[in-house]
Amino acid sequence: MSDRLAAAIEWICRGYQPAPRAFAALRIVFALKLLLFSGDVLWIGEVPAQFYSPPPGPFMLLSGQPSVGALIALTVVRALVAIWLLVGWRTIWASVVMTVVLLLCAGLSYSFGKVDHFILFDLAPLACGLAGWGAAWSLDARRRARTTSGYPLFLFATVVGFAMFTAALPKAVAGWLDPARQATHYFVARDDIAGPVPGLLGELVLSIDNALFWKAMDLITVFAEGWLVFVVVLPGLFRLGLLLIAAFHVGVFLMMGIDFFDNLYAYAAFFCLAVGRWFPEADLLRTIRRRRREPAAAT
Amino acid sequence: MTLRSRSSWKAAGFGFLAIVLIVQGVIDWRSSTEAFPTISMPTFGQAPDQQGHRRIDTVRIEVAYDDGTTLRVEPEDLFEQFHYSSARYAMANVLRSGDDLSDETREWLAAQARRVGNGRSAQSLTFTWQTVDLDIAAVSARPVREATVRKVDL
Repeated sequence: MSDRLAAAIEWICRGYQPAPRAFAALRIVFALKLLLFSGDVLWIGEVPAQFYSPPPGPFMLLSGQPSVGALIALTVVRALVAIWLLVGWRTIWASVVMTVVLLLCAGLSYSFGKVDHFILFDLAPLACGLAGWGAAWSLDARRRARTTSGYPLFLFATVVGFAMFTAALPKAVAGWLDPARQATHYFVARDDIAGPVPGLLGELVLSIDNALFWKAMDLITVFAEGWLVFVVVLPGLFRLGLLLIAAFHVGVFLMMGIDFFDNLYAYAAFFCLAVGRWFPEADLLRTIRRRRREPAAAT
Repeated sequence: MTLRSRSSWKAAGFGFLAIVLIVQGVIDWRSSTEAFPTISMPTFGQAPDQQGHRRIDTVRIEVAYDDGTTLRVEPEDLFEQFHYSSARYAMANVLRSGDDLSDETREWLAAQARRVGNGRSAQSLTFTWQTVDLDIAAVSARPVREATVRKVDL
């Protein structure tokens, strides 16, 4: 590997490296959210077995839904792991176990005909645990000094970018880029006609009779989801992309009533550092310009 | 470990992750129904045609009570016990297919009909799936083929 490539990789990792205290704050908020506002899973054991239909994957190995007793045990385990994460003792292990528990809860609740898209939320503890969200305000930090690492977040950024790309590519194939077809307009209208619940501003935006507006919505959506995977090597641009995606989630909620806000916990991992460090590209550009000027000044 | 060898390991880790993501993405894409766990986000689906029309399915549920009254309910209300986003899919999977209903399912549906009817005892549930042509400019829908009707005696 060339020195230049090695330096580039280290620069990328530094660009993603979170500040220990801000990152610890995310760990605490995440653990409290799981402790106090976790979704109910007991319903999984209470509905008729005839509705059980697991998605392709490891959950097909289960012949039926778990009993209510098993689901109560799972709920207790989830709460205990949340406390484990909160206090930050052997935080990496707590984070790994938390991701396993979240995937288990999610997989069981998706075994009734519909897979929701909160995998980034479920994977966030694993990525953040490896990146060192236990490096401050934790029992681990009391035992010995620790630091954070940007590399796991670089890999997590790749996962986030890829996840978004899986949404953008099928849209591009399905006519969202065709200037004569209005996909966003269709989905808002469909929600209004067929439910389940239109967004708060659904009716208002449906009154907008402007093809340019609706086409812009389609193009912005595909762009916001599609470009992210190509900028994971530029942490600042990636953060800018996440801000656009967060705005997109707000738009989807207001227009269609679909709530993706749990994913914000995953995106927050990339913003746990001083605002001045959010865009390392700016420093890089300044350094490059200075180096270009210096030889010229020397001559 | 030198900077070079450390960076080599990091690059190898990134490459391995990229391969894993692509392989699982292809498997998920080729799967007839969405797999889990996979790294994916919702695709939403096809845009309407260039005239702003697309066919969609609507569903209507009507509960008939012993006292002769009827009540129209939304799937999310009747299937309130389910995860919100699963309600319509679970309902369609079992009821639209025409499969025989188990006693457990029938009793559960009766209990839900009683719940949404404030304790009234229900005689039957009628599920009607209607394909409609949606006009996005007019925000209106026109039935395009015969509806699928499933009446469940309770």
